Amino acid sequence: MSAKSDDAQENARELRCRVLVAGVGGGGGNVLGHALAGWDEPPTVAAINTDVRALDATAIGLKVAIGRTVAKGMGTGGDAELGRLAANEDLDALRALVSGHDLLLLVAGLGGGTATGAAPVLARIAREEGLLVLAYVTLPFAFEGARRQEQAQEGLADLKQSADAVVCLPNQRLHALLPPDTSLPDAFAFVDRMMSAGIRGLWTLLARDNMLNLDFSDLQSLVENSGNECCFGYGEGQGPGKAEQALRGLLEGPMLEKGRVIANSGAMILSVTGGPDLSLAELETIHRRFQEAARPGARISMGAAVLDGWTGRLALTVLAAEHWIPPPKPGTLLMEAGPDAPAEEPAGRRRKNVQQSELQLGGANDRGRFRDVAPTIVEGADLDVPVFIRRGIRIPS
Amino acid sequence: MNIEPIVALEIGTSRVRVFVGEAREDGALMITAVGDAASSGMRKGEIFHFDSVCGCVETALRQAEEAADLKINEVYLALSGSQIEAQPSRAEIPVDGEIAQEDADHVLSMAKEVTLPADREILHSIFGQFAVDGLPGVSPVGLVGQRLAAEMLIVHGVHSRMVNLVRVVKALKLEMAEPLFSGLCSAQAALSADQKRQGALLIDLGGGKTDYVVYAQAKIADAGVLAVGGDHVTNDVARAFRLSTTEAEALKLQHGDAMVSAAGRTRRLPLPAAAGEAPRTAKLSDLQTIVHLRMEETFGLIAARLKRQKLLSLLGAGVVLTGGGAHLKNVAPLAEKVFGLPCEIGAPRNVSGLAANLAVPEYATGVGAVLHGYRSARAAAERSRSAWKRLAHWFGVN
Repeated sequence: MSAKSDDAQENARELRCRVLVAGVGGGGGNVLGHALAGWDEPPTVAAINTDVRALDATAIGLKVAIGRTVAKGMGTGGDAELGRLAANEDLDALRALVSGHDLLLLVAGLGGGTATGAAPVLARIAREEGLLVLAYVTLPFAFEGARRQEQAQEGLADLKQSADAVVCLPNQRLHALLPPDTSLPDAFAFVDRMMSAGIRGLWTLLARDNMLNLDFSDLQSLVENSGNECCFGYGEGQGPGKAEQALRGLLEGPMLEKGRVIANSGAMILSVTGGPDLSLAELETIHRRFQEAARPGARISMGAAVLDGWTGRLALTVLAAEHWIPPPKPGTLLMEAGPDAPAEEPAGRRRKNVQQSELQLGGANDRGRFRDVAPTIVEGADLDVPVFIRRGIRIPS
Repeated sequence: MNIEPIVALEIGTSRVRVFVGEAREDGALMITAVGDAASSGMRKGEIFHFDSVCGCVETALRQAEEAADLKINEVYLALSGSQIEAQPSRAEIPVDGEIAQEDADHVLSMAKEVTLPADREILHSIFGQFAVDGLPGVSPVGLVGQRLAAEMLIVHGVHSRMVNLVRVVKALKLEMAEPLFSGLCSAQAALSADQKRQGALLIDLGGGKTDYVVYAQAKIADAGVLAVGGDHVTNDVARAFRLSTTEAEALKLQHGDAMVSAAGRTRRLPLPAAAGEAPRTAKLSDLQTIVHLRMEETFGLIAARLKRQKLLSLLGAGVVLTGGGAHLKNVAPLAEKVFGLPCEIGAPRNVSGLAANLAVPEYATGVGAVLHGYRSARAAAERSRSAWKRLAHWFGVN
């Protein structure tokens, strides 16, 4: 570990939520390399790869080479199985990397061997170590070939099981944002930029003292009840009317399917990044517009950060859960966005043991042993809930 | 004919089983070894924790390898869950005069082409029947007609979920012979040719899921999975009496009953109590009610689906129950009540030389998968068979 990353880790520890950002494989490393370029006080960022040369080339300080025996430092040649074996070979190193953090933002370009095989292993290890795991992934463009697509789908399914939630960046939707004559390197760079903006938006809100902080528990609640899938959107605005511009880009743009994703989502997190000129009126407008666009009763959490050098500029990042299942005790996790909202320190930084907390809730969760798998809904009924409960039959009689 | 030993792997929610079948000298199939290990890492017929599942499969494989004195390289995988369902498919072509083999092959390949949602993949394309000029059930080659039609049943499931099960096989460095829907395997083992001809509903009551396969009018008419199984009964019992899963499972196995009895209203069962807690009891009729409601709903959902498709009246041979859940007390009388049809408990029957202790309902899937593997290996050996005849043979009536 280099001296630089030691410092970064120290910094992160003093802040409110200890975030680890890890790029797995070549694609993940590229995204983070891009992100780091514009980052003044970066969180702990690590690059994990089977390819030693790619690791040497990256600007990321903390490098973890995996699978030196199975991959011999030369990458996986696109074989996800090799990626998985490589991660399994270095479980201890991965465990050491994640321990001491609260949140893992895992970044991977699915389709490649290392990303597809190793990312789910890293996610599983991190969850075992008590971290909340949010994975930001891209899927290959269609022209990258069927095999890569197929492998990416397998990796996605895998990652959904091992991470708390996966934010999948749909390339088709991104495509629509680009002019048709965009060159290939520009298209890749654009995806990287979107991804890094999303990660940066979230991290800024969690790890710094901000104008309007986002509670780790808000993110935790969103992610853990998201049905393992979140959607992500990004919009930017400049000059007067910058909030409107960012809102329009987001709500009418293709990333959130012209607002359809927002209308469907049961919960979402908005993060606003702006300069010292960011006004309360702008925040109120943003909040109101999302409230109008979302379905009634949707939980909207909002945070805002003011950064130097962002004068006249505003960025809006949304994390939305379309398959939101409300947690057993509603109400407590809702954070009203507004100028007076208290920026409280979360009571417990460490992630609670989910299983235990749910058992203590007793009758609140009727799904019992099926609480952590997708429900079986037939004709509107959740078949995992005991029949006698659904029919209102008292047992013991 | 020299056929290599056939190995079937069934990755279930409560058990992982491996069956080895070998051809006897007279050509009949004999099960020579069984590996049977507890399963972990599965929920509702699908993988929940990959590494745990791999470990369990490895244990069952070792057992079978030792018993059969054989190194297992290739398996037929019986799988379920994955929202597997079936849809009929039909294609028709004009023909000119005498129907040739090429015409039959052509119309079959057309019937196999179905459009599925992007996340779904075909698991089986099962041949149903040919029709020439509207006359169904004929053997078309050599007949003269104007229009040749083929009917098939397409069984498909969610790709990513099936792939996860296949990946276990890959992770254990085994070759995959063929993935098979477990319900079809059970039907293959437990239904007689007569039952298939008369029309029958096979229901395989697993730990995590319930498979069903319908034979009607001498062909497979429907198949699918309901992601509800014995674990749901256990979970219901655990919720009702505030028991751990292990305690609820033990109570279910000992006293579970699909029908509520008069005697149950007065009989009380002791419940496990934590140290220092006052001893607890439960009314047997409460336990019976919980189990009855769950099983009645499961059967009811299948009955409703069959009724919508007008298949319920075509089941001359009634209902056959397989899977571990078939051991539940009074499960057959309950099924008779729900479906209004005779019901029996099924077990592997199409394999000769089967030891008596293997003729149990929970072995139907594994034995059926071996049976299928054996038949397709034999069919491959007899190259003279034409493609569609083989298709008809696999899973077909005969």
